[in-house]
Amino acid sequence: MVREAERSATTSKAGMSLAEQFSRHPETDEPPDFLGGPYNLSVWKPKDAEHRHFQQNAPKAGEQMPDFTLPVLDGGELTLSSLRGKPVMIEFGSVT
Amino acid sequence: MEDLASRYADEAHFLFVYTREAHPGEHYPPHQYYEQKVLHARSFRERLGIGRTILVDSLQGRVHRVFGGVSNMSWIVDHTGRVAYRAAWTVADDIESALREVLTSRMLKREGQPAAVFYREIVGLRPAREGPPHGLPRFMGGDVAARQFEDARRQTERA
Repeated sequence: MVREAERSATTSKAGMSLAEQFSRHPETDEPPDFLGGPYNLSVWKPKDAEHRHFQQNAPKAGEQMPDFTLPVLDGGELTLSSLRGKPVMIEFGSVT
Repeated sequence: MEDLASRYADEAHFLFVYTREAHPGEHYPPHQYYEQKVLHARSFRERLGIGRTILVDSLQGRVHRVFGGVSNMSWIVDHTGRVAYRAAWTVADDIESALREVLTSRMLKREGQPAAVFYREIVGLRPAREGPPHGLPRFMGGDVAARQFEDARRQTERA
């Protein structure tokens, strides 16, 4: 369920699959590894390296939040900066 | 977090960015192609009852990596696009408190009341054996994920 404000900020791309939308944002310049291994883990790893990286290199409180555009699971895509005017809470995670 | 998102629905936006699987296993293997990641994201929404808008990150975690790549992190961006809060774990009470503060700061600024910015940090502790809600198994990835986690934990303890 996309709420109204988010819906209006979501670019509608009817009939386009998420994979097609995603191909608009190629990641050819991205290295296949992250913190010394593949990004998509095959085995869980203790979080020490991630936490260090988060603490030292991720944007800090008070800094400008880097903007990004990602496909929405319900279709379309959303750009973070289009939601300015209200605070935005973002949680990152997965099933497991 | 779903409860918080519905209580503050008029005052803030709530997004969920679906990332790599933190504890992959036989039920949720590591993502090899984008469509698979989208299917996992749908499964995530259904099994955990997520009502928030879910964004699906790139296969190689383009956005997740920019923000540090931690499995269950949370962020609050203020009205102007600045980072107001960041945490390497998601704690609903902390997020509510930070969100209220962001909303109050906005009100003070609008009313032209004097206010001073200050910076703070906190290192938190959380129960290490916390599983997902709704009676779901602790390792949604399956037995492989559970075994790998215990092996890695034993190795860390020996080191």
